[in-house]
Amino acid sequence: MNEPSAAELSCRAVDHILTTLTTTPHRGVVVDSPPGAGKTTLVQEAAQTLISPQHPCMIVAQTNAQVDDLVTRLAQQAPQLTVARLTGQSYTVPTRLRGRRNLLLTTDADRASHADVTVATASKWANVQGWHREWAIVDEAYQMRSDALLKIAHLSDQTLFVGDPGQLDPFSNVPTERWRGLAHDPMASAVSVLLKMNPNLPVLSLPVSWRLPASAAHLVSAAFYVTPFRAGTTETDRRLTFATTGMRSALDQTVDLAARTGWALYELPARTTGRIDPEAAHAAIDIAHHLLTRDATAHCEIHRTGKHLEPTDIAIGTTHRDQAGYLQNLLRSHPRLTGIDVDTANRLQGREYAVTIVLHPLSGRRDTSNFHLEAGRLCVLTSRHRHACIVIARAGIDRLLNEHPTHEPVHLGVDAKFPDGWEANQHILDHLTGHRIRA
Amino acid sequence: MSLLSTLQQCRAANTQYAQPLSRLRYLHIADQPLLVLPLNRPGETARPLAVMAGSDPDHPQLFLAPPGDDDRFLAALAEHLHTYIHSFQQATRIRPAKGEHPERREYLDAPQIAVTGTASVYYLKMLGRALRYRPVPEDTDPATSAAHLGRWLTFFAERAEYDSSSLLLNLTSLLSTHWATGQSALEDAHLAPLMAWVFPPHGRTGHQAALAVENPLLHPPDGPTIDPSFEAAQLTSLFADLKSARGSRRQHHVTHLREAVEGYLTPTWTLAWEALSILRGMPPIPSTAARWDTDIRQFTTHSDRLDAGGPPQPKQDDVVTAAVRLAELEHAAASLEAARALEDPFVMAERRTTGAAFSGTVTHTDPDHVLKPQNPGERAKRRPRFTVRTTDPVRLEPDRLLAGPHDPAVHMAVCDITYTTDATEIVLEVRTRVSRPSSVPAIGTTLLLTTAPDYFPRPQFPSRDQIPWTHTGPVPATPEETPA
Repeated sequence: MNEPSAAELSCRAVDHILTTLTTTPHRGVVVDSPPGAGKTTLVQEAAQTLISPQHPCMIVAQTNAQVDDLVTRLAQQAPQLTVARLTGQSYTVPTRLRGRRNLLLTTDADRASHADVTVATASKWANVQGWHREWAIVDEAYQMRSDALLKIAHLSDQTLFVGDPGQLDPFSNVPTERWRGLAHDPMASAVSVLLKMNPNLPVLSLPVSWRLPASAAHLVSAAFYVTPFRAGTTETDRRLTFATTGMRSALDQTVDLAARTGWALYELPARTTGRIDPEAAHAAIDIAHHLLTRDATAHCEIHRTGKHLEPTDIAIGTTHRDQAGYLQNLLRSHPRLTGIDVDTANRLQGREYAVTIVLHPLSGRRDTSNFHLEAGRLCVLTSRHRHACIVIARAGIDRLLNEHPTHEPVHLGVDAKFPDGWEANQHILDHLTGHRIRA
Repeated sequence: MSLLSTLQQCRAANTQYAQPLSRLRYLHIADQPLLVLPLNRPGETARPLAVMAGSDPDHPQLFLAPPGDDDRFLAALAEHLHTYIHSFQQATRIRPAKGEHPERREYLDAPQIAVTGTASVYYLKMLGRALRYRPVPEDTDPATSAAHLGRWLTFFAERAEYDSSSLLLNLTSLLSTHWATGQSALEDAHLAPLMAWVFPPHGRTGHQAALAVENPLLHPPDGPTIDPSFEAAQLTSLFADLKSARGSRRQHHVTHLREAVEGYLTPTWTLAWEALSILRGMPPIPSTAARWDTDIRQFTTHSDRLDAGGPPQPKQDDVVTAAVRLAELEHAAASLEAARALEDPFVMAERRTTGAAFSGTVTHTDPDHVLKPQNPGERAKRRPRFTVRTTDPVRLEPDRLLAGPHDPAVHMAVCDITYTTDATEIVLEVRTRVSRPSSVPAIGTTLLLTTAPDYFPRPQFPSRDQIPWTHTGPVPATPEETPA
């Protein structure tokens, strides 16, 4: 018997999820979705399945940008539905959302009461009174803090939680030790509290990543995820080609290697640096420059004949906001690169690019820290790309990891975290070492 | 840690003198705080050997718990704390009703406990937890019981989790917000080396002075952990003597123990009062009084709860309490940070180095800018706009609300950011105090702007009997029966 194709696997999983939704006796269903596994499509299909004229539903997302993306897709792909987008008083809705016939923009929940689907951020929903729906869909549920869920859980009878368990956990700037180990820790993610309190809820998953290329899906799955997933495309589907051959410089070799194998590690000489490492930042800019000046074309299952690589197809991922700020300043003096996104891992969550350039979180550091080792951070940074991921790092991260194993105390009542950040870092670094170009 | 504080630490290490980080304090320092110096018995958890306490620098009181005398020690300490707290429970005032809050009675002032460091804060918390569930003996005044001592200590320790609260002062951490030294954070957490760095005796550098106080026998470190050299040199033999002694011989050994502990704690006692008077001498930022008012309100609420015979604080926060507390902690930290930035030029300078604040000149104003209505049925709104040009490295995103020390009540939203080769131009829209002409500065004015304090509506959490299924688990089919 042949192994089922990725499309079949994915279809079956979605069908199974939709059937579970309509038949489950439980009040909640959790769907784990690896990077680019069609989470938004699932949310949209689930919404359509749950809605019949009598059963409007509500969708909870975490940020305004996520809500805007969701309503755009819903209004476009399901023209028969009326979609309402609730906003806060001070939020200015982007112009691209205006003037759609089946999309209602309002700050007042009462005006949205007739819509089939009503979408808002969790913080907006927390202020809505006298609202009730049979079903709610919570998007990016792993990024939602459990105290946010506490405010809105009463708005619906049953809830579908969709999210990516591999991404960054919610965080706070205040000390939160006093709740550590409590089942209802307000800092924990909504899903982890939900499952601790309701261990019998069905947890389903999407098995295919449509974003990650075949070169990345297996690695990311093995390094960061409990439930394995595979790539939806084959190696021949995704290709990155250049119109011009480069010189034989290290930078050219780096982009060539990344185009060929999907990965490259551009290794700068070992040095302890501050958070801002100008050499690494310039290397990131130079690599982006090379990708664009050599007229890269990305071939994929959507653009079979190839799509010219534009600055908007590239992102540079950093760990700290000041690193992103420094790079944004540098980019301003390169008009050719205008449009490249530079952001921290936290803000790149849920985004997708053709090529990503990543400043390794441990590059130039003298020690590791839990923050820099966090598996979710590396997972976000190495799973945003459709074609290739180029990592920039100072030499010596292997030594750094070996000298600083995790030594965090174990707390009673706190589940062991999988994956362990240190181990995940070793896993990814081990793979990258085979794709190393020395500067 | 910011670049500026790192720079000041490097400077301190280089010059051997502590460098200022801020010259304004943000916490209230009472005229008569109760200084508490606890010492724990070696090898035990939350079991005091002695506590030196008092609100008069010249008359420290030493409460000693020699082996076998714990109860008498606790009773005396409880009595002392009660007397101190009770002195604040006399004068009250009436706060008129405001908004949702009904009229209420409040005490005029609140007690304040000072300890030397984070370890002592934690110690009081542990001691509070160990004591607050003890039964109150019959025929005694509950106010002076060990149980109430535990509940007061818990109250102070829990308030200390809020950055904005002055009820429990942590001296080393406060000093460290005002001075950078050339030693490690671990050394800064001890009062003697920190004070040596910040205020070295005449003719010595901070570094030399700190080296001179390193000998634990001559300069005992502050508690609650007893230094092992003191334990080896004195405590062990004193305890051995006490073990077998009875009657007057025991009394004799207790006196020896008292002298030894007194000698151990007195240098810290003197230093702590010095630290307190130095901190008190610093000018407070204006919002300090409002934060102390919050502390007084909390003190009143807790006093009322105790008077009404309420139960001790629970071991763990329930679902709603935890969520509310997290929201309040975050709000307290954020509003303190915003207030310090607006009221303390040192903090503002630090923010300018990180791009969270900037200084710029007003280049263009549009005081009559009108926003077109977004939805049918809405009216047009007047929202004055103006443009600021800055050469600072800014890191802002659109819609972020800004405010400046020139008038903290005016909040402006970032509408547009344009980067030119040598400067950044930021278009701002006035969002609060819109109708006041002075909200729009004149062209040519130099403004200092940073993130405005967040608006904080009281979080709406469900009541404790309406916690949703997500946080309680499925409702059991049969009600749980209480075991007979």
